Amino acid sequence: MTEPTRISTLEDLKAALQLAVGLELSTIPVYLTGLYSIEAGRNTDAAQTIRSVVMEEMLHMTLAANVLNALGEIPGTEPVEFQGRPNLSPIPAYPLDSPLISGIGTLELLPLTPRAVDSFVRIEHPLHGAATLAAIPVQPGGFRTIGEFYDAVDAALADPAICPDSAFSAVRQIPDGDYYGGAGHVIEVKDRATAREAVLKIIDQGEGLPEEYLHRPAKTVTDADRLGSGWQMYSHYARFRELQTGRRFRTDQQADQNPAGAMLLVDYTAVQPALYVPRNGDVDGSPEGAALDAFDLAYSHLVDGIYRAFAGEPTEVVDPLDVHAERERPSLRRAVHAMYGLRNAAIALMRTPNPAKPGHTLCPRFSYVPPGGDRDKLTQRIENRIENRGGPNR
Amino acid sequence: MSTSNDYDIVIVGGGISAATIAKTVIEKAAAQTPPRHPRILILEAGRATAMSADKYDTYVGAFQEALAKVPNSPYPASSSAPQPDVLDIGRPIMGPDGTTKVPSDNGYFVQMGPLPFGSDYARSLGGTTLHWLGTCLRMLPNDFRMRDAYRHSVNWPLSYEDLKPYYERAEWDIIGVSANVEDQVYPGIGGDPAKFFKSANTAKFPDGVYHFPMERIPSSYLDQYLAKKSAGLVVELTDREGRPHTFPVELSNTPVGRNSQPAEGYQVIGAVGNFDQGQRCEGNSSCIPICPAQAKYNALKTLYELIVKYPDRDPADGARKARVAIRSQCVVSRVRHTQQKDGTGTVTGLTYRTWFDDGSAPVDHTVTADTYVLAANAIENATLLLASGAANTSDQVGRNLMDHPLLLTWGLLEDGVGAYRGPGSTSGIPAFRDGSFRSERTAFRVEIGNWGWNFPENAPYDTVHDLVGGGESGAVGLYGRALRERLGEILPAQFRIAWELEQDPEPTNRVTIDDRYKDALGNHRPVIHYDLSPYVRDSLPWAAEASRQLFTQLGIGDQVRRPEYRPGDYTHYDPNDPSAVTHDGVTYWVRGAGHVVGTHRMGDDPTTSVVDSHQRSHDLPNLYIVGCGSMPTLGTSNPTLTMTALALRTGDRIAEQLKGNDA
Repeated sequence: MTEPTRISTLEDLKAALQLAVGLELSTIPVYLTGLYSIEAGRNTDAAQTIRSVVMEEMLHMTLAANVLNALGEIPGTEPVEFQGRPNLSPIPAYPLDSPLISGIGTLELLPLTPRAVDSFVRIEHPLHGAATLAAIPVQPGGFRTIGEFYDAVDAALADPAICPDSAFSAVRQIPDGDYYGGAGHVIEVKDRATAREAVLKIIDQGEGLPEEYLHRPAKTVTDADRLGSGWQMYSHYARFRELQTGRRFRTDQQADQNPAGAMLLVDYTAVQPALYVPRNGDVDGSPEGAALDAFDLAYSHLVDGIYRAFAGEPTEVVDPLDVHAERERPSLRRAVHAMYGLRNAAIALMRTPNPAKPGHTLCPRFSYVPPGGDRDKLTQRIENRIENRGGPNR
Repeated sequence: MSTSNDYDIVIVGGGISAATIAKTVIEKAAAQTPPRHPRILILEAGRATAMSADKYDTYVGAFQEALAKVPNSPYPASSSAPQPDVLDIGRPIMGPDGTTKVPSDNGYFVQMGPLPFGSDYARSLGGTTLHWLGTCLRMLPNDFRMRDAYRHSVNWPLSYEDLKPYYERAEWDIIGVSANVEDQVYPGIGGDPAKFFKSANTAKFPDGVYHFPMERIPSSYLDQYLAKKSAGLVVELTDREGRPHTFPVELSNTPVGRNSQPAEGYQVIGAVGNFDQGQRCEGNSSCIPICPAQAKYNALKTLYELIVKYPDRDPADGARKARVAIRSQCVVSRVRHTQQKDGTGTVTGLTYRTWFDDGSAPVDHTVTADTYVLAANAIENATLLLASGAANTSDQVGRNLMDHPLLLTWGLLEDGVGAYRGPGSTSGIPAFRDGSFRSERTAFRVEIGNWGWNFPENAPYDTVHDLVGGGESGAVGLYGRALRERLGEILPAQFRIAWELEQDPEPTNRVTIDDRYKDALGNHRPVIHYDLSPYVRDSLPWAAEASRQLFTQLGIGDQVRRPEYRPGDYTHYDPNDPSAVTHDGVTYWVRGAGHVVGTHRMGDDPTTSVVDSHQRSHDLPNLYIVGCGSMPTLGTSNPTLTMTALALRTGDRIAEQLKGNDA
């Protein structure tokens, strides 16, 4: 059996955490594409399931950023060098073949279809669907599963030779009150213990679920925050398995069994037939292409906004009604506005027929365009178009 | 249990008062020595559709499909538990001698006039909190002592200081209120909000420095625009003696039961059955009639917590725990009691009728308990008591019905201000809430509406009709892109204010019953006599004049009417509207605010009040009659927060009385 990659320097640990922030980000567009493709008011069980997982992915991204910040490194969108491999981008581009996790397979943007749900299950399965760990090919400096990756991160965090106590400090932490709150609580990282607690929370709720969890009751509650109101969240894998099989788990079942509880019906016809078309595909130059461009620009601004929040940049929100001194406000709250905007734009795209692909509608590309020349060109293209059309809403 | 009764407590009505009392009694009794674990039954007349997030979505669907988005549009009524609806409001025909010639009875209410009662409520589990706006203003100190301060109306048996700790608990433990103390600058509090809110609970609030559980909901762009444009404006109004009264126009962010940024240690309560939803107000712009995300508090949240924590079965682990049962579609028709005319007695049981949606015949039941609580809305409490001949030695049951009669003024601003975006209202102008003028005319609160002209002009729909044309002239107007552009100019500039007048208690404003008017189950429909006193009417010209001064300052003083659209004051009142009121030769429209108050008022004197300050019946000691009906006067605050504070106080009292019982 191959030894998993070990993280043995602080520099590599920081790079790993940069990639961890991106890894958590990378699943969000995959799930959101499925979620936003559901016709309004339909498939409420499926929508709530996917939404609840996305909420936790956002929490995990925030937790990874808090750990990274506590080690004195600002989360960023720039490529990093990890295990001697240069130029690894934390920011996902779809279809995504993870440079880090070989077992996870290709992440695609698909509307809610049985194939999409299969891929959700695969992403969240401890071995990403493989029968054994050994069956997954290894790439040097990479990991076979998300579990392996986080194990390595946790081992490095635990090792004072890699990160001494003095390496941790409570800087630029996203506070609990600032997180949207639904998926659990943000852990503010101030030392080794809280850093490991944050990583454990990521593992416990979803990504990197240890294999032995499959032999535990499927409905083991992953986050005790909720028990006060009877709201129970179990692992992402178990939740997606319910979607895949169309049944809920019974409380006495294990996660590796077939759910045998109440019916959970998914109507795959109540879904927009969105079709992912890569940038520079068939629709460029058309109004549809412009709409896709506008989405990418909005998405890029959103990603930048989130990273600015992680970098601790406050945004001044001046309320003219407020005669009292206004505190500086963290910018994560501003990014929430952009998230709503993005949702509305995604839903609009998925209702728009794709002129080049009869029977299909447009699919948001979630294509991040980094600041600089390409971003400027994209911005310019959209502005020109607005000028030509006489307004943004035509 | 020491008695042979079915339950320790039976509560009639499944709204916020019921939820608050049940939760308070259970938590308080469990913490007492010796601890008690009461068994509680809640009887709800309407349906319990929405006890999970996806069922709640059926309400959202009904709202989206409704052509008129009135408060009850998402909540389907039943002939077995009918509910009033603002669409049913009609004007009774009055004879020359002032008596009713033809009542207006096309809805649930039988309106005897001279004015129709303009408000409604919801008969569904969760009650009217399903469609409240969420405004959580405390009453002002003088609101509790109107007789002493202004020689008008009556005093409460409680002071603001008495109720303050319960206000704090209502804001933290039940509703969850978003506000910043420093924004709450009201007249009559001595100029210092920190002092008005100073808490005696120094364990929770060091040095008594109070803060709300969540930060303010950000003020809307409209609020900011108005604050800038009206900076320095002082409205001047003249009283009957010719004395000027000045009112500096300052906007104040309104405390609301809508989720926002939590303070440390406060757990935000999300949607019932789906905690991922409803964490924060997302500005869906439909607080009334429904918050699709449940960021706005509704009583289902508290009721859900109760049935999850205290299910109505013996705990598997043998631990002693309270038990809560909620039965919906159970309409109580009689309070059974031993009271003789003008004497006291006890309640011996409740008769209720369970109805079904599948056509089965309704089934009658009787239930007994040690303590009975009527929490069915002010009007429902009154009709039930009157039908039962109970608790009415004072002859005050059903009397002193009050609302916040509401004058709308509206205009088209010079600039787009983002109307129809964000919560219904985020700020108000508190200047008119208190002052020496209250000895001659009523106080009012100014609510700044963020929903354009939806209330006065049925916008945006009627605006679209105006622009499309084809009306009386038959001329075709705009369509396509030109229509969209014009709408884009007009709709965001629409603006309206609600001037909510405090109504004073009058014995002739009353709910009665009449055997000629019954519902499908044979229960009495409310028969309502309603008018506005001169004390209220005298503030109509004041509110209208204050509006004119404000609109002039905003640069929209010109009188304009639809279908013309340019900046100006569009306020006008058609005398044929059912809500028309004429005062000193001028016509106004006076709408209801949905604040149904005052039918079983509290007081120390059993000859002039129905309940004591703990909302316990003077006549029937094992009966509590709770809710807005207990309020002797209304002040200018939306009443739900005060009702909740009163329910907490009642809950504490009921828990103390359980001490002696082997519950």
